[in-house]
Amino acid sequence: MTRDVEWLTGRCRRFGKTVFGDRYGYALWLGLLVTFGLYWRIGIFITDTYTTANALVAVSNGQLHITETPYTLTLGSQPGLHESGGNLYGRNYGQILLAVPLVWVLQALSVLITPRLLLLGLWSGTALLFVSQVGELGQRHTDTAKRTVLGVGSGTVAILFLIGALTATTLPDTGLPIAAFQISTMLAAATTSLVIYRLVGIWHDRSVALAAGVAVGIASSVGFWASLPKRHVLVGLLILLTVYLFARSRVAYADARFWIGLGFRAGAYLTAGLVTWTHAFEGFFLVVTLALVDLVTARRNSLLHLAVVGLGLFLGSLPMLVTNYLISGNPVKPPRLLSAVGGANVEFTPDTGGDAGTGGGSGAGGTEGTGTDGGTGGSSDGGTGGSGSTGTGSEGGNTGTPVLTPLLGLFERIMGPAAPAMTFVSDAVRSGLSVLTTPDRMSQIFFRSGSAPGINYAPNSYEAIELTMLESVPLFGAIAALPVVLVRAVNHRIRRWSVRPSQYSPRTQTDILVAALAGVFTLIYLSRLPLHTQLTVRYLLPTVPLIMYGAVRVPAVHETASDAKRWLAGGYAVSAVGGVILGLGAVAGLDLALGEAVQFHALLNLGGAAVCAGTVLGHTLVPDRVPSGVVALGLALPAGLTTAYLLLSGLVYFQYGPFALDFVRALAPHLPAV
Amino acid sequence: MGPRHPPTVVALFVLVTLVVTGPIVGVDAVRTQPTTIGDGTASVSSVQVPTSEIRITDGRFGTNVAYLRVPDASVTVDSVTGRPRLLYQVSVPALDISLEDERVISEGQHGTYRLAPGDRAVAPASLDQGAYRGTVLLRVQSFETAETIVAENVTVRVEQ
Repeated sequence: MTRDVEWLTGRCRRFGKTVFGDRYGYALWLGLLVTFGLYWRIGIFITDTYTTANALVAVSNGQLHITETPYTLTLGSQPGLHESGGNLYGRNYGQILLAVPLVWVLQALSVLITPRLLLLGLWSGTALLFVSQVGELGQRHTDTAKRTVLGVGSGTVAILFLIGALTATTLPDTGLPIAAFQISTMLAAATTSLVIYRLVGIWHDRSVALAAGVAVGIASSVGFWASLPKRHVLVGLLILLTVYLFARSRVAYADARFWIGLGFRAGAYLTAGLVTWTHAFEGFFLVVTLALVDLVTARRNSLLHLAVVGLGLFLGSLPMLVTNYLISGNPVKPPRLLSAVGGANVEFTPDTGGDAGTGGGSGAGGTEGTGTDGGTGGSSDGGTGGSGSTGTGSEGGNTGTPVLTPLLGLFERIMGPAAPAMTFVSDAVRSGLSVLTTPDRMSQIFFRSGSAPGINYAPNSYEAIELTMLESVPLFGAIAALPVVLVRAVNHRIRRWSVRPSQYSPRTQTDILVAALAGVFTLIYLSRLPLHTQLTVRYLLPTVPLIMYGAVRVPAVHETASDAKRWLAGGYAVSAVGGVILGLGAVAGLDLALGEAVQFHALLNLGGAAVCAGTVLGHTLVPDRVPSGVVALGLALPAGLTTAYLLLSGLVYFQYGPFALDFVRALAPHLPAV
Repeated sequence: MGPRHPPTVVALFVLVTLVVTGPIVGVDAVRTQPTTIGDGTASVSSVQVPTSEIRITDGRFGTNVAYLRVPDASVTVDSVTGRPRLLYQVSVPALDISLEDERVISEGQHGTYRLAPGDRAVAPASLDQGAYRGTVLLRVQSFETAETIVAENVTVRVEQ
């Protein structure tokens, strides 16, 4: 018995070490989940979610098509709804299937526990785990006794639990699936932070890695979207995970551990392939970018290695292929390519938002991962939503053996015309490049929003709530130093120009991949921006962890996070608390409306970004004049202001549903309202 | 990790509370409050609605849009039976704007409530007059009753 327990504990420990790396990673992950819970509202914020939430309920009941609509009054008017064979389908099935087990768990537990208290209980349990980890770590770094931390922390959780239980409000049964959906995104957001912690931890010391993890979690727009179940956080996580596995493969290759390297390399392709399950368009660009950088920088490209990599990619794309086959009968035709129903013209996705070519190509993109770009390309010239090609798809799947025929079809289609897919790719890139040359538009996407002339504010009730990249993640001010760093790096490289990319250090190779992905995932969406209902330029959200990685790689930033960690942590705490007080004060004192409050934060954040840019650039150019303590404060200020915006956006500004935790609901009426 | 480990103690307490108050065991120690309107009524002793502050002014901080500004209402409730709601509504029909805030209150929850409908951005093209006619309503509603506490016509000035 004891031996079994020991064996089990050992296994858990090893599993924990594989996933979280160490206790710090685990504590980071738990802490972020606890924080996201505080400003979690149960409900639907963006109309696109109605379809995916209804589809989630359908899938959790064992079918892919939507028949009941617990989240909308009528069926057929939701954006993002697609039709095939007389049935209505949602989209982003990869994201939905991730949430299905959570729906089942919550529904099973709700037999024992009242739904509202169940959420409170889950939060309390997570918070207690966090407290016990912090107690352990606190002992290592401070004089505080572990007992004190554990006592105070557990006492606080107990009090919050009691307040929540005593003031609990009823949560209707339909609340559980959407809550599960939101939990899945929160898990993805927390895991994104964990992955950047581990990725940065390969090159830099732990405090730098932790700072990067916290920055992505609650000092960037990732935290804003944590409890909003859109696909962007999940796609961002998978992209970052691809980068992490790529980095591990390069490290292993450099150490001449080729089999381990190959395993990680195949893992990177598998993860990249999984993106197609949620969004084929994004998956395509991820796979192509990864493949280009990977083939150029790999130390081994033997046939065997390439075959294993291809297998990884196939396995990653398999769930998408199976889902597509079940829905349309054509494994290479994702739901987004099926004929759209009802309000699909208000859907802000790459495939239907703009020109027809894009719509077709997005499906093609996803399947290129499995080497079938030609085939889907062929079916994509039907235009927006691919309605013209519905017939072809169903014919392919409905005849012959269910598995073999489509697989054979795939191979045939590899040889098919790849032209439409290629046109789409070049269109997306070319129109993105043309936006680069329009400074006004670039400024509305990246610098200052205000009331941007390019945005139709009517769907937002004329509220100027659309922030730019820099306004939503002012820490990116640190990127100002990147050109200097790049020039130095290029200079250094020119002197050793004979070194081939495959002989670059694993770190440089990873940097190249991150830069390529950040560039590609920005470029392909540029032609659709600026746009309403973006809030923090959500189309570019997957690039946020990548750009944060870039910021951390600036020497002035990672040296500061390593040398002046107390300044960084202290400054961050002061800045976050100050930001919350300032925000609440402005809302109460100036009687701000929603748009005004958001723009107030935008200006504050831009100020923070300017300070950040100044100190980081200053330290990069004249390190003696700008000490690391000052740089630490320059980083802490925008980080804290962003955290303040995240908290206030959830607690005060955007009201779309009841708070998940009743102790927060009890507090909310005492805060000023916009 | 013995039984005196505080997080474990609290976790056990949480777990036991959840299960004991759950649907199967059903101890009535924790009752979740409904948040939807029911029967009953509330007696309102005083109301503060600064209707003269309702106006249209320009947005600040670069919002570049005019706002209909609606002040908060403060309602003092002496007694409550059942589960009625307080409803505060300000509308300007010519601008197609109706703003409201409601609060469902339950038996025993007497006290002062703040109702804050917030401000609303006005479609830039629709603003062509110097003043608009508006109405202010404050009511106590339930499935049984609908009592109007305040019903007032106001002039909403555009201050730019």
